[in-house]
Amino acid sequence: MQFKSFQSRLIVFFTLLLALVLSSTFVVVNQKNIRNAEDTILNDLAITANAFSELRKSRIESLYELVGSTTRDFAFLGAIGTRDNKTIIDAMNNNIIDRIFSLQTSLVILLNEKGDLIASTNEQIKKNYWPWLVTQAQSDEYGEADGIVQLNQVATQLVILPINARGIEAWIMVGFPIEEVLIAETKNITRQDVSVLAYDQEEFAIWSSSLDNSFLEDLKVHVQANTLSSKSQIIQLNNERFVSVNKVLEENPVANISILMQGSLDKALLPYERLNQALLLVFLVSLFSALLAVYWLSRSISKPLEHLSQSVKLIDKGDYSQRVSFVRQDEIGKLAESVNNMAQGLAEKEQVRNLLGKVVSDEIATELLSKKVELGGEEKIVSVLFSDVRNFTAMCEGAAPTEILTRLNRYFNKISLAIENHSGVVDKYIGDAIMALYGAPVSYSDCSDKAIASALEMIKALDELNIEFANEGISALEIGIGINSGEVVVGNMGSEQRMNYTVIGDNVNLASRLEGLTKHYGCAILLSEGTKKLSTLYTMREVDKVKVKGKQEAVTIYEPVCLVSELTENLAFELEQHAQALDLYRKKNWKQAKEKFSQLGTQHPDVKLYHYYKERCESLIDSPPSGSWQAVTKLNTK
Amino acid sequence: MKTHLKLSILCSCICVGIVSQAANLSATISNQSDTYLEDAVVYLTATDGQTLEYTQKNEVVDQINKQFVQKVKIVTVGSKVSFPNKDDIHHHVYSFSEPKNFELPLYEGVPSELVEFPKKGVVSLGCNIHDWMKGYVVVVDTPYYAKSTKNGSLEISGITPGNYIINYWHPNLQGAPQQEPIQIKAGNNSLVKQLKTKTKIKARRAPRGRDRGY
Repeated sequence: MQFKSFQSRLIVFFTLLLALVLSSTFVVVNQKNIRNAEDTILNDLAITANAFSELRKSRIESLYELVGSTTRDFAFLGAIGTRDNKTIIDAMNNNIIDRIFSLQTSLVILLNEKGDLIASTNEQIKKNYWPWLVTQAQSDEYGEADGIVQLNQVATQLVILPINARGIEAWIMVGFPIEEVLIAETKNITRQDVSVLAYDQEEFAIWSSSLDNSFLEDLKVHVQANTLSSKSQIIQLNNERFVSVNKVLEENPVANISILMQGSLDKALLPYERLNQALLLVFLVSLFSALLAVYWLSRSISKPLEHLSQSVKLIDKGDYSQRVSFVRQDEIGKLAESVNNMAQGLAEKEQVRNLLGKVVSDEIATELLSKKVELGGEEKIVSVLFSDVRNFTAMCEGAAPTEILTRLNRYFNKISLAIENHSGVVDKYIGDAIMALYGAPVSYSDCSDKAIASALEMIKALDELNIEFANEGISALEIGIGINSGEVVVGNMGSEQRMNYTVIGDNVNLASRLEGLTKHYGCAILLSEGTKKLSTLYTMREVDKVKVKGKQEAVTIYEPVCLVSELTENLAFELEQHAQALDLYRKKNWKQAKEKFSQLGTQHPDVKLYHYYKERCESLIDSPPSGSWQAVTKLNTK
Repeated sequence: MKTHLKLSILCSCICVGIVSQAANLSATISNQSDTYLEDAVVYLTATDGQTLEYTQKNEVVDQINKQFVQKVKIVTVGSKVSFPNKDDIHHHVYSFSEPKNFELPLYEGVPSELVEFPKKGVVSLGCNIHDWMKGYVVVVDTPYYAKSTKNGSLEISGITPGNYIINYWHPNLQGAPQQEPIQIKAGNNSLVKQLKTKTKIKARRAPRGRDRGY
């Protein structure tokens, strides 16, 4: 899930978490409550079943003893001894049903030794319907047995015991209705309803029950549908949930008999229902207060964060004056403090950077700021440009030093602009001289072309400045520019405390030498062979082969003429003529060379080089060199 | 009384000696589990509804230490029995049996009247006060009868050889008295008989600790 704000994330997270915890607590408590209620009911029903069993046992014991005692009563035996049916029935009614009234016996039957009916207090009973009870008694050491049967549509507890008088060997069977005796009394004790369930190998039936009719009818439906399990279960009686338990009493030849007991689950759950309501209220209140707390907490975090974020955004845009105003002792307070410190630090750094940009060029400043500043360098192919004011001393004449500085700065401003326009970097100002780099610190494959373009623009810019100077009555400036290209070492040089970003190497020196030669040849710009090789855009005029100071090998030097794309036929012809003249000169054919140079000089009086060669040829014609002559000019000027 | 008894045995011996055709029957009675039965009653009756000649006697059944002595008494039809009480407490002797329904209400010593047993059959005796007191008067219509001793043996002597019905009875006999035809030969006859007895139902005296399985 994506959240746009921390606050909503916090609120949703805590709400979900709390809702989960509370709802699972609620569910668990509810389940436990139902379980507890069920357990309580099961316990109550177990007590009921126990009460029923104990009552039954006690009743049966009482019957054995009291009826057994009666059967030893001499008068009772005498009545049986008459072997007169009416007398016997009368005696059974008087001596058992009426006299032992507490046992609530409803039936007395006299059977002979074999189990055949002799007499019954119930006229409807014409024979012994329960011979299995006699068989059971015969195998008992005391001749006693009991069993539950259905008599007149109700469950009846029967008990049989022997009459063992001299001359009378018989069985006496007595019975009492379970509902009126056992069930009613059980209910008196436990307040629970009890039903007698019988299964006669074909179907289930309720023989007796203390349940109200409304419940009993529903229970009978369950019984007929045979949906009652042998263990406990929850059933619906008269739209009320009950826990129902089945407890086996006995299995006799007539039926399998058990008692069914029900405890109302709905009534047992009533107190838990109130607990649930209270719990729900507590849950809602705690959810609401937790939400408030989370809202407050998240506000206390998100509000300052928002504030911080806005400040940082402004700082990012360069507004380093931004400060976070709130004061807090916690992590957010520390963060705000750090942001303030950071803004201050950035402001300071920006100041340094601005200053650096003024002292060194932007590119070098960026290079210095982007890397770790340390001594050492790397080899790079660059073009090095040297320019110098030739007549600086003349310019200074009659001017105050501040005026001189002002003029020089005006000059540097113009010249520097021409350098920067072509990705050049001013390495340093040396008095009235400028050293500029092309291809460092940022490498360019066309560093030569950039340097040449730059040099041409410098000349043009100087012309403009000279017009300004002329208007002001200041004498014009002349400059010479030397450009060499090749491998140099670029890097920070100096001491650990104070260093310069610069270049060194022979190629730097050569550029400086070339600048020095410009005056000699009357060219504004001189290029080395290395520069010519790297250049693709410019047409050159070969100037000479020279041996400069400190170098053994001769170097061919050139002068840029124009862009290759701007070369005219006339200019091409001129350069061709120059090349031919130079060739004649080098082949010692100085006379012809002189003529050609003279011709070129006449046609192009502004190119001082032709004049220079004409004079040189004349000088060579006048005093031819002795020994080998290699057409290499040795120059010892700086 | 004892001298009288000895004399009568002596007389019988003499008779055997005189009547050479007289026969004896000795029998051993046991039950289905091969236990010798004491107080088993064996008597011979005539076949085909004939009657045998027998004499009536006055007999005695004592009550000593709250028990009937003898427990089983065989008498002939029409004999009279005296029930003298030899204990120092009262007894109330009675029977609800069909052959003789009688009672001798609480008495001490020798009751003034004798009880006559005019019908054959088994008369069960009891005491209304002492439930456990049990006695039997077996009333027979024959001179040939005897009851078994502890080792289950009995002997009937002086029988005229011929065909009879032999009757067996025992207090614990299961079902009705058994009857079988029997031929008695001159001299010694002997037989072994197994009777089916029933287990006695115990009297309920004190509350029982038995588990009835509720």
